[in-house]
Amino acid sequence: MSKNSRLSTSENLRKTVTKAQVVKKAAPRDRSYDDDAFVTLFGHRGGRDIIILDNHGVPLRSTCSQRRTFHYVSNLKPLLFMARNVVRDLDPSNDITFMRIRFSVGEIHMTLGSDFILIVVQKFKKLRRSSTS
Amino acid sequence: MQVAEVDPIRTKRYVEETFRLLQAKPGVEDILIMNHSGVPVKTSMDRQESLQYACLYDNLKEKCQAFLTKMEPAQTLTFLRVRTKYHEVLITPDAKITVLVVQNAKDSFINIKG
Repeated sequence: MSKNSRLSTSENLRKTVTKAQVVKKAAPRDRSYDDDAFVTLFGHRGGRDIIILDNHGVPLRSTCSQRRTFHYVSNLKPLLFMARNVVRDLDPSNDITFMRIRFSVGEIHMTLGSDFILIVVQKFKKLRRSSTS
Repeated sequence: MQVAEVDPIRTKRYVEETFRLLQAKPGVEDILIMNHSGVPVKTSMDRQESLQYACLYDNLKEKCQAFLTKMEPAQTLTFLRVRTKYHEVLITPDAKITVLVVQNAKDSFINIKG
């Protein structure tokens, strides 16, 4: 991503993040996160990668390198849409909101909002106790 | 086939036990237990529905497993949870069986916000 596109996507992010905060979470903290504060806040809590995608699965913002982001997104996006199709097949009025994949050393959370998709990849520490909020 | 039948008595009792314990939990709507090839073994749903659930979710589980093996280092799936508006589906792959539980999703956050 060139510098120019990065700037524009972070502007889009500001719009989507604030809208999403109002709709999705009870927001125990301040509602409108500044662009970098949001990401660094989660970054400090040990071993998390956050990837923010828009509704169609185009990555907007990520805490990990571009290559890694691409690797995650290219695998997780079809998985997520497949899960959505599964849910819709079983019950057409139903729609997926979260998906959590857990493995022995970590887990991946995917949240589908109305305007965005949020992916959090988390690695557990040796004692298998990840830092919780 | 030999692998699945290694200890059939224990497996069957294990399945029954698991089923019983799961049904006792609050919020559980449906339980589906499949063997290692994805065929429903014990279920609380009717036949058609259980086959549908088993087929679709087993497929999804396989895809997740494939994704995890692509990561470095290769991981194995321990738990898969798909949450929807009305309910939540938990899939637990195990050595001999795969347990699928459909439970009620009491999502107070989203409800409050409308």
